[in-house]
Amino acid sequence: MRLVIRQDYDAVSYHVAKYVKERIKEFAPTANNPFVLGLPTGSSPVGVYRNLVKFHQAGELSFKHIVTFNMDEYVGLPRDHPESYHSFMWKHLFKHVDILPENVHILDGNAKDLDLECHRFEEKIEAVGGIELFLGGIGPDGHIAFNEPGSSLNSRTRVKTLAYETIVANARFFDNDITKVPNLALTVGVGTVMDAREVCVIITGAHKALALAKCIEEGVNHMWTVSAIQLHPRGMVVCDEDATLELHVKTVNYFKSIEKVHEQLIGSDNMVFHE
Amino acid sequence: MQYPVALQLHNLISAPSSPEPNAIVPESTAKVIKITNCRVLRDGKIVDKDAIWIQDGKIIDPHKFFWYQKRLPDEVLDAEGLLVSPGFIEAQINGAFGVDFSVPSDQETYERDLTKVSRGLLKYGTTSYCPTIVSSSAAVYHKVLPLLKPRPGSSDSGASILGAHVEGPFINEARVGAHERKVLQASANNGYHDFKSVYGLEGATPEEQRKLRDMDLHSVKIITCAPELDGVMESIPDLVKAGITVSVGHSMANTSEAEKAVLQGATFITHLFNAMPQFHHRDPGVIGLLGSRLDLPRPYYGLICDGIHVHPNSVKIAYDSHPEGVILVTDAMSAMGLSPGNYRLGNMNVSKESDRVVVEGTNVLAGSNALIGPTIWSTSIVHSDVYEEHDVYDDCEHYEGSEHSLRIISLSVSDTDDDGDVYDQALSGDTTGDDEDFTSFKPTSSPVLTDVNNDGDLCCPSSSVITLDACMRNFIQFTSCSLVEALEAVTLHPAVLLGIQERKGVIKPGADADLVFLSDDLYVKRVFVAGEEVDLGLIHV
Repeated sequence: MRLVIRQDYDAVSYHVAKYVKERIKEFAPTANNPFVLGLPTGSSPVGVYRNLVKFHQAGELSFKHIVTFNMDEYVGLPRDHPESYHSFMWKHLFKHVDILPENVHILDGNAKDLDLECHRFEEKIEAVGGIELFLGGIGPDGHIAFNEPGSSLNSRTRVKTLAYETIVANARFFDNDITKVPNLALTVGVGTVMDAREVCVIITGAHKALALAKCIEEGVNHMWTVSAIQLHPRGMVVCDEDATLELHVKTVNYFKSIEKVHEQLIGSDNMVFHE
Repeated sequence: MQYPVALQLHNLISAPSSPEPNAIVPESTAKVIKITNCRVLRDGKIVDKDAIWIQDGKIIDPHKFFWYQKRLPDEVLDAEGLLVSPGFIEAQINGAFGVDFSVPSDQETYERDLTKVSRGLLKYGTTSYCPTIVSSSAAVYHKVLPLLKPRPGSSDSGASILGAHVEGPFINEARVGAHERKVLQASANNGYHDFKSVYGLEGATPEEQRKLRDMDLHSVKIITCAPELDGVMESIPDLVKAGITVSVGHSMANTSEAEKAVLQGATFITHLFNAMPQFHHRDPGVIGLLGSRLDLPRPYYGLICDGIHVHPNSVKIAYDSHPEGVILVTDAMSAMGLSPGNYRLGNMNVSKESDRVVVEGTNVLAGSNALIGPTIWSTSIVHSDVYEEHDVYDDCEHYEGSEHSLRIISLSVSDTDDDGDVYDQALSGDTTGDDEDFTSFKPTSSPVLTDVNNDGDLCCPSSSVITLDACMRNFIQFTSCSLVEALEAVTLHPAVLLGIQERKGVIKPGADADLVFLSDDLYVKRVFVAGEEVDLGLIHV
């Protein structure tokens, strides 16, 4: 696993966006061989999307041959509700870029048969040849997508009941009325994410520091589901200085030193630090 | 791969109630246009790098389009970073391009003239308007109003017509402005029926008229009247019930009468400051509505923003006191938009030069004819000293444009404090009476001025030749308001006044796709009406 530490949220966002852009460029996707991207929602990826949109507007990145799979969606919320994840993705990414609507896959929280919907989602991923790069965030309790503590590390896409804490935390988007917050969601499983050929988790802020520490310095544990990244052959965590607050100094020093060597190898011009 | 069937938890725990989560969205297969790379006025903000999606002549929600129809737009237009505003809405315009709405002609000619104006106005960003009829006889209204029913706009036929603004004839003779005295109505003691018979309203009762309005089968959208006339005040609620916007104008009402009119349902003031008593500190009259207590609804007010009808400082004072109420209007007349040349206007032969109209063969500004009235002419003012280029005329006095002389002629003309002179303020060192000594004036250059047409002020603007986009540019100059406020004064505010803010004057899904693209200095570059781009080069009037 690589741990890339950057100064702050903006630097992290830029790094991840640049990394995604370079990966896509290198892959050189075509209509027959599209780049399959897994995408998160929440506050962590907003900066990444902003940067990706900028690259697109500058003509440096096209989304024409990109297929996306989002991680999750609320159950029972209308698709055009301002707080649905469809709305989130539209607002932050899809509305600004040239992605084809048929290449966008987001779980349908209003499907008549939710289990079938989850099943179909997994099949769609398989049909395009699996996910090339899965971006994700992390919750303060170390969860990835809606795989709350206790989720099987082998789980697949399924219906999940939201933790009470999560519902309370989300109430601010629903007029502070917890009865309006959806209490079920469809989510990719930990297994689904880890099946991707590469996983990149974005972790910023002091409130995520403990989760980061638990996920990379301690064992693989279903109580901190992001810890499954330790078993991924190509895992990467990009975090800011604040998120490292609970890590051992030794850990931070180690990963920073690797970057120094890397910089010497490829030249500092090719390092991505800031815009 | 077998997936375990989850317990039907979602049946036990109720999902948040939402109407029809997957409501069927009608799938129109009509062409979808996306306009990208624009700065858009939306919800009171200018949104950068935004896009507008149009289908079937309306603005659509791209979110729904993307998710439900899963299509890409059929045509993508690049706005090249221009500012996109809803098309402008004109609430008061008497004519343009040589056409006078108040002059009846045969139906074919009138329709042709109407189209001429509707098309010509697009050049100035106006995509919807209320043709205005000055005080006329019932015969004229009966002839003309049926031809002014609302009609949608298009890139061929021009701006949409919202219905007529009938300015009069239930107005006060003392503030007649340039209207003909003999067609005025002194009272409306039969309430709605008097209005119905004079204008030829289609509905026998206010309720019926309202129904017709809801189906766009009405002809009268706005009525300007003087509430102090007998019977008019009491008629206002019925007129409002009939779906008509009632405006106070050409009136001598004092402030309490004006406030009563607003309580009765009047929602607009016709060209604030003009054709009403001047602001007097002890009786502010209609102008005093801007200072009504917070619990009284303050109406919208029209401002002719050419810098001549209303002094720029007065514009700013009005704006500062009630910025949410401002609606810019041109009150333009038939000569607006004419290119230089010789014309016959009313019963005069005139020459229109680049920025003024003179009696043919002379240097005298056209304007003693009752139809046009003594007139102040102006052109678009974009300079910092608005009086640099313009001359200000009354019937018989002639002042070279200079800031000071204009200030002088704006003085009050009645001896309201009984101190023996016509000026409220002491002039030339005259300190009789209780007035303050207004020493900032240049006393030596004050001529004797008389209010020749008895409309309360010494300059006599009747109509203008300014265009609505120029009004907007002036407005920003005069008030230093924000871009959003200036644009809303010609879009959102008139739309709300007329109750059409769901489809006009806004950029949001469901609204008509009437759009104006503006350069940074707010000149009209491109225009869309009902989702079609207008070829401005093809408009010759």
